Amino acid sequence: MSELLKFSPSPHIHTSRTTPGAMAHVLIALVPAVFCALYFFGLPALWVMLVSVSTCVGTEWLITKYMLRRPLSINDYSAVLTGVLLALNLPSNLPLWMVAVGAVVAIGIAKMAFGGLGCNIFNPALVGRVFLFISFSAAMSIWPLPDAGFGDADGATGATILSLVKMGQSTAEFTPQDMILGNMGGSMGEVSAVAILIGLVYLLVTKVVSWHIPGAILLGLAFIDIMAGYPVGIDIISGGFLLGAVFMATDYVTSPMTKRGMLFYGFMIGVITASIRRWGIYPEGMSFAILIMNGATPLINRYMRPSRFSPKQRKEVAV
Amino acid sequence: MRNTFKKGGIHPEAHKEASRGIELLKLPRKAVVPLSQHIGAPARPVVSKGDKVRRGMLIAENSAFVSAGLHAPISGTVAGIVPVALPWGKSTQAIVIEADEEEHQADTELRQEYWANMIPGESDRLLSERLSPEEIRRKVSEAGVVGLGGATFPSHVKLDVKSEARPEILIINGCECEPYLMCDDALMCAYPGRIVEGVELMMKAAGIGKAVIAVEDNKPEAAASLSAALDSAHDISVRVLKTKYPQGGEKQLVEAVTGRRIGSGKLPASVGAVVHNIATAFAVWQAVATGQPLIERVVTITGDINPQERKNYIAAIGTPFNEMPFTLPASPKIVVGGPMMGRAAVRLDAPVMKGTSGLTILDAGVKPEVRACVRCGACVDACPMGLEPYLISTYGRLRMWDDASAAGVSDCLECGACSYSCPSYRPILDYIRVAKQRCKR
Amino acid sequence: MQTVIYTIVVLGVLGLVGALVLYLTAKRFHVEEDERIGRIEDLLPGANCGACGRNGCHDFACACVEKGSLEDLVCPGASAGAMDSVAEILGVAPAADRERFVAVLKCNGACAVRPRVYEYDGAESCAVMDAVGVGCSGCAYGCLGCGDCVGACRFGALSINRETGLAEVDPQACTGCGACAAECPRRLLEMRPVGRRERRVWVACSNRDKGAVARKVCAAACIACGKCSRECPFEAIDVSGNLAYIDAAKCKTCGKCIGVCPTGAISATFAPAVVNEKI
Repeated sequence: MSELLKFSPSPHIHTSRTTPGAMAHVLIALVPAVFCALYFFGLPALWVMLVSVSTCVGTEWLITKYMLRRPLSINDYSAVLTGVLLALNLPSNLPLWMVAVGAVVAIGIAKMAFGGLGCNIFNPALVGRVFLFISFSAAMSIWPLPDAGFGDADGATGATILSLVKMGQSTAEFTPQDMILGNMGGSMGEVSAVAILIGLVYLLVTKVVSWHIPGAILLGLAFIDIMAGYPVGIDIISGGFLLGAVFMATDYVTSPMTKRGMLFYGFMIGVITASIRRWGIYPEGMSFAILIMNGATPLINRYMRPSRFSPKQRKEVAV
Repeated sequence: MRNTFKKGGIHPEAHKEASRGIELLKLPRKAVVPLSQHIGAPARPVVSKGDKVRRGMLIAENSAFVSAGLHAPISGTVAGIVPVALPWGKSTQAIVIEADEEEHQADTELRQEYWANMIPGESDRLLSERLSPEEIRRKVSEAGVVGLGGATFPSHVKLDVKSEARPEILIINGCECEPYLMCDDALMCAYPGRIVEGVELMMKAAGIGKAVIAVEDNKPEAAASLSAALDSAHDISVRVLKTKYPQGGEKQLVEAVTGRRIGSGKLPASVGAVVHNIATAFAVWQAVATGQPLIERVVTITGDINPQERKNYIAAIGTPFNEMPFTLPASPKIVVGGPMMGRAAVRLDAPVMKGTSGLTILDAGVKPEVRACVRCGACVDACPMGLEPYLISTYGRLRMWDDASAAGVSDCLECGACSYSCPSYRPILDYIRVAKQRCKR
Repeated sequence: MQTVIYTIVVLGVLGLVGALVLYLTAKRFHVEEDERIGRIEDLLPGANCGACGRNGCHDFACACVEKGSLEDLVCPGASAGAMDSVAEILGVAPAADRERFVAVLKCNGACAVRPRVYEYDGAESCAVMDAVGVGCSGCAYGCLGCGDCVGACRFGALSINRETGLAEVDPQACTGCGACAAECPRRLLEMRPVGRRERRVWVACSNRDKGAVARKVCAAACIACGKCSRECPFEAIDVSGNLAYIDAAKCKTCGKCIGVCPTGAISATFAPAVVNEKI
């Protein structure tokens, strides 16, 4: 026998699902949303996306290589994914330097400072977005109007549906078709409901995401909306609900690990989002709701454990 | 109707590619028979160097209540009782027998005759009526039959059920949930009648009135053959269960068949069930009806080898692995048993033992990068015991034994579903095992 | 400008109020502790290794003050000067020089003498490798070289030598606390007395298989031939279970056993008078 026999502990076979593979699937699921962003907002959207992705990847590379001195991990696509998601949460006319700042905060503070992939408590893209919102609230509240056809959006901006609702004004100019397809103002990724739903179907089919979180978020939102007497359907397709429910809240690292935990987590996100939308001062509440529940996730993991096959004995097992 | 266990489980690719027919693997000229091939005290040799033995003769006896005897798999001369290497490198005492050409030829002819007379389907149904439970158990003990599913618990001890613990059901495990392995499948298709008789003998020996043979639904031929071999005189039925790993695990199997859950640290008897492997049922029949002790068993050779080489063989105990016909792939990993729970072998001169259900030869390739835990929960979803593998594994790595114990490490089956499912290729089970061994102390 | 002034004033006042609250709380809930405890604790290594038998350095310091003397209180990790300062604080005479212990590895199966014949591709941990099988070589008792002991040492005294594949102890850094010995799944590390003038002799093998079997997997294995035991003038060597063991209490580090060992299984910290070509 000339070859060295390999030995290792069991099991000796493995599922074909990998972490970079899951990230790649999410990126593929985002393709329709990215396409719509480019279609409706044109070249500025492309610039925002490029700056966001490259700054995210660059920040992670710099920190991993020079500060942490660890083996490089950017080949797991998570920085790319954060970059794309951050971009999709921003208005396409945001000054590029602000985009870069947001990306540095997202990766540097929300992810690497906590220990890198798997150790962060809060969704990095959302932390970046909320940071930008709080620091540059004026720039982050001017939403360009879509100009279908990859055109260079000529700078026309207007109110989003949610802000109109918050101010008590009529939203009659936006038809449901507009809202579903994407012909409305908003951040680059949230405008087209169809694009996001296609992504959701892809993620469900490839089993990257389960229905529990998006379903529970929907339930929570519906629960509050029915109590407040607001049309649930319109609420779903306006604002960042779909983008958040499908891509942001379902992030593995920041969401609970058991199905029961996911249902509770999702339900509360829906409740908090709808509450902020109906009774809070902000027109949009999804980002805050998700971040709040991200903070609750460790607690959910601790108290909503899976049920054991054999129930725990009362007496302590001697070690 | 319930057809599987409720919690956890995974669906690895089954790779049931070996041909279902069983071939006789030629007897070795030198057989290495380790003294400890079962749970319990090692057998005590009754032969010494230079003794002449015949195939089937007793060469080591039960040395305790929980122990099993050993019989010569070939006729020949005892070359010595020496330390030999087990497949994973550790050495153990074994009886080595060497045969000359004449003895080898004679054995081969007798063996071929034996198996040729084993006409599938024909049976002698009166056996279990004629013999008493004690007689059956005695014959099983004299034949050195142990659990052939891999656990190798002495069968005569398991069949000796105390009257207070009167079990209601005998479950025969024909699930073979491990990917690649097909030895049970092949046996069920080839000799269903004999197996059913073996089950009847077990029922008589243990005093159990009802038996269920559980088969996974990826073995329709086996299920059909067994069903056809049943008769109305005994309460034996075939139950087809959903293919899910680890369906063949004792606790999961009992839940799927009876709906009852076995408590932590308890045995199936605590919920009125007794579980035996289907190959053990066949071995029991062989011992009682033909008088042949456990000197050979069905072994599957399969994996990333030449497709023509993927077969089921009847191999004599003590046959060295390097006498089995297979060509190794590029970077070979030889697993004794199935790929989920089997142990990797480093010695090809190690022998086939009573618990060797097969050799899964895998092309290991390049080891993928281990990444950080992304808290995806795949391991939690996969765990059939409802534990949190990522947590116990971290406790094991950080030597937090008390926390590992509180998290339920002693319930772990070491089935490997967690490590299998982890997308970051983390060695979850490795550290759980360390914690489990430490907590046992 | 007004806003700025208001901000500074308001925040300043808030800060002062907060500081006051903290100060009062600290005073109100202050635990009276002998101030010597803090001073002693500062002199200790702070590794909380537990070698003294107490629950960490703070506990040791408390025990010192409680007892009022250094009897039975030994900190292997502290320098001699530190323990003298502790004695000074307590106002007692400095403790007598007690025996220092140091870790030794009872295996010298370097790659050159114990060939690595199997390839391992599991988790990089001695505990895991030991649970799986025999290791990368054929010896079921030898050092696996994955470094579990290195991780356990709080004083940085252990390292894995890449060339030999064995763990190495730095006797200067080692405090004899025993953390590495507890970690090794094969119990290869033993705490032995430092010895007069740093002289130590030990059998660097833990293989309990019969001599012929052991020799097949490692050229430097102890084959329990007994030559060392017969040679030793002080009856310090006991051979049982196919393995020789040198009793540190009886051993006078003469080094005669090293010369007669046919496989070079006995290691020492000094060059013996008679050179053994086998080593």
